[in-house]
Amino acid sequence: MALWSRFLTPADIDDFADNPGLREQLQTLWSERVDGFTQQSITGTPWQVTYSSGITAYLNPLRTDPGTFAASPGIRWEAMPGRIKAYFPNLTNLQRWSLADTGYSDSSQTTTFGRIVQDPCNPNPDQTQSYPPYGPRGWQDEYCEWSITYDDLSKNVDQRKVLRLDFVCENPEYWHTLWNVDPNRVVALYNEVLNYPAGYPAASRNVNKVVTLDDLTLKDPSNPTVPVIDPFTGGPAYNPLNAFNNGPAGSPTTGGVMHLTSTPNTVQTEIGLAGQATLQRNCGNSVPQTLICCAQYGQVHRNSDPHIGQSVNLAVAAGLNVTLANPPGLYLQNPVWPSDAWVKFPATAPANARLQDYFRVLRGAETLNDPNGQPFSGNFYLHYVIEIPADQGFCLSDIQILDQDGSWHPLRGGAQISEWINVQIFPAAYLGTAPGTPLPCVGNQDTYAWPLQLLYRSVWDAAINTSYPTVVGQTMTLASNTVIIPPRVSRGATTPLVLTWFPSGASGTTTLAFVDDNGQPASGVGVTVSDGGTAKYCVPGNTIPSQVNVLRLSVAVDPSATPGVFGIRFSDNDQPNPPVAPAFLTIV
Amino acid sequence: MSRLLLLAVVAGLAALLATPPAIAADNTFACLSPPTLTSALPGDTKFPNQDNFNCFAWQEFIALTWNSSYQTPGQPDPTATAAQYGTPASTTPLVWETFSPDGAVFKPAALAPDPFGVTSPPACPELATGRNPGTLFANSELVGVPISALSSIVQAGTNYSWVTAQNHKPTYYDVRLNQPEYTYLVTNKFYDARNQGTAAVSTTQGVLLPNGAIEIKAAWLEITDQSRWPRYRMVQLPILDTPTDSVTSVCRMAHMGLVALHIIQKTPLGQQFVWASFEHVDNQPDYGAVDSTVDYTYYNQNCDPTTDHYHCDINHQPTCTPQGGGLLCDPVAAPVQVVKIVPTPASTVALNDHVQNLIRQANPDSVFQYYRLVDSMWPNNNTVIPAGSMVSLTDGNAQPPLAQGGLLNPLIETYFQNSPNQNNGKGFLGCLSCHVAAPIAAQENPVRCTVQTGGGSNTPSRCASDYSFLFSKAQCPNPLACQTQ
Repeated sequence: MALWSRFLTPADIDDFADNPGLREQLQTLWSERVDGFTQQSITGTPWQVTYSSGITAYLNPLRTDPGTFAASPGIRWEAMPGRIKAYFPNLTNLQRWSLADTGYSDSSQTTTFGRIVQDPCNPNPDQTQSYPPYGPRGWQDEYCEWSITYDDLSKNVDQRKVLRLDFVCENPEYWHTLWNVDPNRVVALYNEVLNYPAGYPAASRNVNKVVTLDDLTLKDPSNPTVPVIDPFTGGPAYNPLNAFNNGPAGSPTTGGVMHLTSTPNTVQTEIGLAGQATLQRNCGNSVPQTLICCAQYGQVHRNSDPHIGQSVNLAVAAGLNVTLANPPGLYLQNPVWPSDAWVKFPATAPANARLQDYFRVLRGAETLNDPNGQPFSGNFYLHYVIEIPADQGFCLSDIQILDQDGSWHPLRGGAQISEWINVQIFPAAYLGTAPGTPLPCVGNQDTYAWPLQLLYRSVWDAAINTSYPTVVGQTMTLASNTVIIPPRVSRGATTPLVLTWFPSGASGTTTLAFVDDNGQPASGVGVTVSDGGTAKYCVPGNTIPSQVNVLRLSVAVDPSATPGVFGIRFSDNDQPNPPVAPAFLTIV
Repeated sequence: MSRLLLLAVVAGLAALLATPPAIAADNTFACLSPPTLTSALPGDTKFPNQDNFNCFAWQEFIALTWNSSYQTPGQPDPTATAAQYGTPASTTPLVWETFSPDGAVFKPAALAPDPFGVTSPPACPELATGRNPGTLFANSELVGVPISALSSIVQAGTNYSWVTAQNHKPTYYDVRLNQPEYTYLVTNKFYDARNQGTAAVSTTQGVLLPNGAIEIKAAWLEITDQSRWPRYRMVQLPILDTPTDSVTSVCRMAHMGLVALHIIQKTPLGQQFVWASFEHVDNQPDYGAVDSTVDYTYYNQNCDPTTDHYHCDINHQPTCTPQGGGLLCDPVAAPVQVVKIVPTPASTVALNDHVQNLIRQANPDSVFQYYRLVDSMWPNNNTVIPAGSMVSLTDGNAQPPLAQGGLLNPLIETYFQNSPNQNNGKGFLGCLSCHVAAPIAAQENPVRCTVQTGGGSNTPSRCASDYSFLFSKAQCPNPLACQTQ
């Protein structure tokens, strides 16, 4: 094999089919960002976590010839959140579905998630917490989120008609990148997808959503009519929790889902998990919950994280090197439709109607080819929908489904269907070398300050000051829904930024430098720190909010500076040569 | 067509490097170790996903249906070749057929088990001649008994759950276990129920089968139509039969065809066991998908509701009602219209096509080209069960999940399939739905275990038997003294 030329967009989707110039911009920028995620994954978390670095079996095929392709065995898991079942095993199926659909287990919408232990690996019943993740549909944490389009949100939830169900696995980083290239294209896609099928006659349509640029724009919380400006593009910044991508419920005119919003549902996290999972551990790899508690690369009891980690670890143990197959991403699979014996349509439905008849893929590919030119085993779907055309005289909630407990229930939402849906990642495995010496389980250390995220100050200020309530009573801020992608700064310009970080165990002088891949300081870059402070937010990719330190700084880039993506070398205690965090700043 | 990733990870890196990656022609399944025609029994899969467990399942099937050694029960004939695999009318016992039947281990009054692979005495000694059927099946559960005490034909549901084929013959079931499981049971004297109780409450010993333990459940049908024999694994063996209008059982020789096979194995990545189920391709149609070209053995395409005993109702479970101190039952000879409710997944179908072709290529006459994998079940959340565990054990987040169909064999769990209008009241079921509740044998005094793995109440409960219902067959030396669950 040879070096890959670039990381492809999710599902190799072409969102600029009629604009080759913007297509190239998007593809280049996306590949650059996935390269950054991959470098971050390979670096691990050496600042404050022991035995979490030294990764050699996770490949960046843009930088290292991956060698001989061996296989791409799919890693697949159920979309219905496994943690709900694990933490609340005594709920009935109806209660569990309601919880996953609405955040409440009862039709009166008063009983939400119970508290759970803080540390499921060492559970102490006296140390509990509200059920995270806390976002508007944060509990949908298996890299698949859905939105239910009801006829009328003012009705009691069990009186509403279910008109349409949208399921997505699209990562938020891609949509931010698309916005960076052309916000108007994002607006157009929202309109196309949320109103699909656009060509239907009005009588057949269940939804009529009019999405504008303003609707998707991040606003100044002190004056909600004022857009927040992206200092690089000079245009509006993106609001990932806009009115059309927010929460589990929508109406014919608002709400919906376009990409993932639960804080751990990011592709940067996914790649990081895969990298961490390559490290062999003394605890062995036959028991996924033991391994994840040892290696701390995700959440216990998810269907996804423990299984992904174990699978990757086993592949490496078998002498393989791995990376995410191209295109990297998270992909929905065709639903495993229930037996026709378990579905009852209303009498008004067409003869021999089947659920499959009302299933439409809106984004993604049925299949793609692997490095050997053969089809991967699995689908590359990003967004699909189940919807009965309005003129058929019935809706989804008129369909009865045989429950696992032997009773029949109307189709009340997406949770029932999420149990038929699998999400999949495609690892690409290459012939490797013998796996490294198994390591002890990870532990805490506070040797170095840990740089977490760098983002535009305008975006940070707006996001950290935009709060929203959640069903479990935790107040969140929009900062938790930002993404870890390196902000772009222009040569010849000074850009205000914010760095968030975890402090080391010793206080001292704070130093910061942007460095290239060889660890050399970027030339022509001046950093001025104005002030600092603290904040509490969920670092994108994490499940639970943390207290972080905040550094407000300005980066002045000389017109002659070398362009490229740079890492950050950051210290708060005079420790020499702290590890570099890759892909923190892009100089254009 | 199936795509194969011919990567041998089984033997480690050396094998990896020695086997160049290659691609066959299918896009619906991908296995790191695709099945080959070999007698080598796999110990585990190397990668925990459905495709790889399915390939593991097929590899198990091939190894266990290989011709057995004449010298060593449970072992393959080292001289047998792939070209001999599945030769019709072969009288050589297959590997699994030389395993010990459960009745040879769990005997009345906790008598000592027979040696591995040996049963004594034969059920029908007057018909036991030579290796076949004397050694092979003489004392197996392939024995029908009078209707008042149905046992070995009543396995496909609760209560009176026999499955009668369209030829009016009932399905017989045969349970066996391999040498690692046999050795574990005998070494720990778990054929005596009391020893199970002592071990179960111990926080160090427990009732925990070793990796490599295998249990088999086979379904057999007497096939009188000789034109079908070339498509079946056929054996001629004695069955204890009860003729109509008789209360006396008689032994007679019968031509039995293998119609379904369960294989379960405990593996490092399958601590909740890997459950593989196979069936003959002629058994029954999928729900709503009758193939008019197939002459099904358990489904009548021309069923007449006015004359059929069950009015052609699919998967209709027979019933018996008490009457005059006995039972009045549906006739055992009345055929049941069997249908598979959950269709086999497309990736499994593709794998079946591939393996069936592989078998045909090696032996165009092989009977095993007419068998297929229903599916396999495995734990996504593989969990080591600790000593002292109580029922119900964790199901390890069994895959496929029940909402995605779980796993049931239409001839072995016929009436658990949630057929329309035949709702069993229990909802969806899969192998582990029931086996999580498998207990140790009845004891003289109540024995309670306290270690919880499966959620629910943490009240001390009956001790678990590591997902195996065989343990509950053990008796005490005085059987009447041990009846407490």
